[in-house]
Formats: sequence, C-alpha cells, structure tokens
Amino acid sequence: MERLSSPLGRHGLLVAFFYLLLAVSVGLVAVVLFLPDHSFPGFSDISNYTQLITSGSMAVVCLYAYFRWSRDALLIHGAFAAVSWTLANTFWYAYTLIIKTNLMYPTVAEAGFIGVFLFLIAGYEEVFARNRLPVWVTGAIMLPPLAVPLWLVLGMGLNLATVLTLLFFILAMGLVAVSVLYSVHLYGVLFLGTLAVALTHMLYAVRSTLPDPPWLLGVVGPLAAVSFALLALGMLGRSKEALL
Amino acid sequence: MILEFYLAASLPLFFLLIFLEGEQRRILAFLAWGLSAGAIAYYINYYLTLLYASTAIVPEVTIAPVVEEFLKALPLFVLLIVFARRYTRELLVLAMASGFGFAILENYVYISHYEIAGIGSIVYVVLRGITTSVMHGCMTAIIGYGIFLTYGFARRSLPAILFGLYTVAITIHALFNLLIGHTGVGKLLAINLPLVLFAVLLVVYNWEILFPKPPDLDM
Repeated sequence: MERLSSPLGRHGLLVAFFYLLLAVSVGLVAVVLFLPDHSFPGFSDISNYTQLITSGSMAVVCLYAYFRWSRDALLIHGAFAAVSWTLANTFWYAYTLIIKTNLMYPTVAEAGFIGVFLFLIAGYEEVFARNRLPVWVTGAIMLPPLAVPLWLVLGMGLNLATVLTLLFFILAMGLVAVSVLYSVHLYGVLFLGTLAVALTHMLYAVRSTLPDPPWLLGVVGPLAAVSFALLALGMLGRSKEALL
Repeated sequence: MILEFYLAASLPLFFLLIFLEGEQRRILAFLAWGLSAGAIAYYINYYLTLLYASTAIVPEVTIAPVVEEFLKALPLFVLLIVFARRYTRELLVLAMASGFGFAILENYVYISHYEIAGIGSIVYVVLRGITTSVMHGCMTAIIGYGIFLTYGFARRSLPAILFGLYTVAITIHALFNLLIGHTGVGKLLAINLPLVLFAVLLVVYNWEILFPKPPDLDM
C-alpha cells in the first residue's frame, strides 16, 4: 500500500491500467480478424467504450503527469491530442445515437481527428532533436501511401470526401515522417503508437469514403484504442525518467 | 436590427476603452471584439446556410461552430502570431471575455427572433445565460488557456497548436449544438456541459492556489 502512495507506485499502476486497455483492444482487433463473423453481439458497444475510455484516460493521465511529475511538453501535446480525439469520437457517437442516422462524411468530427496529428507533430518537433536524416527521406515515406487516396480521387471524382481522405493521408504520413526525422523511433512504444494512429486514420478515411467498405476495415475502431494505449504508455515511459 | 444592436452595445464600450488602462482595457477590448465577432458571424452564417441549403449539411452543427470559434478566437491568434508577447493565465480571461461578448449579441439575435413574451422570456434568457453564453465563453477560454500552457514552446509548432486548439473548440461547440437540439439525456448533458467546463476552467485557472507545490526543503 505504501508503494502505491509514492509517485513511482502510482506510475506503475497507470502503466498497468494502459496495458490492460491495450490487451482488451488487441483482443478486439483479433475478433475482427479471426472470428468468422468478424464480430459478436455487443461488439460495437464494447469497442466504442474501449476507444473512449482509452483516449479519455490518456488525456487525464497526460495532464496529471504534466502537472504532478514532469513538465515534459510532450505530455501536454499528448493530452490535447487525446482530448481532441475523444471529443470528436463523442460527437460521432452522439450523432449516431441521438439522431440515429449515419454521420455524413466529412463532418465537424473530422476536425477533432485532424487535431490529433497537429498536436503530435507539434509535440515531436518541440521535444525531440532533429536528426541528420535528409528531408527527401520524408518524400520516400509519404509518397507510396498517397497512391491510395489518389486512386479514390480518380475512381470517385474530386469531392469533399475524397479530398478529406487525401488530407488524412498527408497528415498521417506527415506525422510518420516527422517522427522519423525527430528520432521518435528511439522510444519504441511511442513510435509504435504513432504508426498505429497514422494507420488507423488512413483506414478510417478509406472506410468512410468507400460506399461498401470491406469487412477488414472494421478493425479501425479497436485499432484506435490500440493506438492511444500505446501512445499513453510511450508518454508515461518518458515521464518515468523524471521520477527516477 | 442586428447591426443596430451591435452599434448600440459596442459604441459606448469603445468610449470607455479610452479611459481604461492595462488589464482592464484588454478585457474590455476583447469583450467588444466578441460583440463584433457576433455581428460578423451572424452574416457569414446566414449566407453559408443559404449556400448549403440544398445539401444534407446541418448548419448549426457543421457551419456555425467553424465560423464562430474562428471569429471569437481571432484576436488571440493575431496577438500570438504578430506580437508573440508573453501572456500570463490572463489569456484565459481575455479569451472568455471575447466569448461572452459574442454570447451577448447572439442572445439578442435569438430573443428578437423568437419574440417570446412574459415569464417565458425570462426563463428562456436565464437558460441561455447559463448554457449557451457560458459555452461561448468557455470555448474561447479553452483556446486561451491552451495557448498559455504552451507558451515558450518553439515558434514553428505554434500554427499546429493553434489549429489543434481551434479544432477542440469546434468539436465541443458542435457537440453542444447537437445535444441541445434534442430531448432527454442529450439535452440534460448539453445544459450541464458548459457548467462543467466552466468549473474545470475555474480549477485550472486557480491550480497553483488550490494545489501549491510543497516547499523545497533542500538548502
């Protein structure tokens, strides 16, 4: 009990909590990938609550760690990113549950999802030192995935949905590029979370654009929870350095 | 009548501004800007609603938050980008003043449109006063406090942070507008949302008083 009252004890407890959320989220991803129906009764609700609990908890924990443990600027950026995403997701569910219609893509919720990338890019540029990797490497990272939204533009024409999907891809690959240029990969879990959040939103954009998305894109929801659990663990890992 | 009300409400404030100094002048200037933003937003929202009338877009959820949050927070963005001055947590109060100024004009718009009479009008105005007005103040205050928290960060990350905070404000505003238009739990949540946000902002504004750091005993 005494150990839990210490900052390190509380830190350990929070890490364990996010590992638990990560395990649940990975389990939900596995359901989509491996169950014959890619779902079970109540799957959608469990997935939605897991996403909201994970991103909401990340926001609270990052703010707590920033004010109580370490004035690491990444924590405040992470908190803003998680708040932005939680609000956007809440808006999405509120719309679907209250108005009981599928939300037209794009909506205001997209602004909140975009906010995640902006906060994380600003945070990485703020906290990590720029390495000597040439900038053209970012082109090599960004260009190949951009083929997907361009293919959508060619097939479905230039409209709000396809343009926003293109923007999601640019931001997602931009985040990956920045994390490579600023050596985020040195923090393995944080980098994994960054890759996961980028992949999640690219898949989300494709799912929202396609009139009849394939079952595999049902992985988006659980993958979002995986992303935020990993990001929270990565950021908590950095804040632990201040406690030692 | 919107323009007339705006002029009637804001002109005396401009005269008062001449006599005020320092923090008082800044707060009143932001309040006056809020009124101006309310008038500008009214016309922009009106024209955009007409423009998208034939689409499935819901104006109060999609158009209004984007336009209104941008206009209310505009002086904050300009202050930071042009002057890059250091502000204290006062930025939260300035931002809130802009939001409340906006709410004053918006309240007038709604009251004059609905033309409710008697006790109903009092109830309506009080309800708006503790919900929508507080919401407008809090949304802009979130941007202000966010900027204060990130002060001292690299200048290159400022645009991303500002846009990020703007998206947060838009999303909460849209969520509020979505919920307030419905009955039951949704409406109850919408009524409580601004008050909860206000309480949270009050706590973070007084954070260092409420949670003082323990004195450093090392000599």
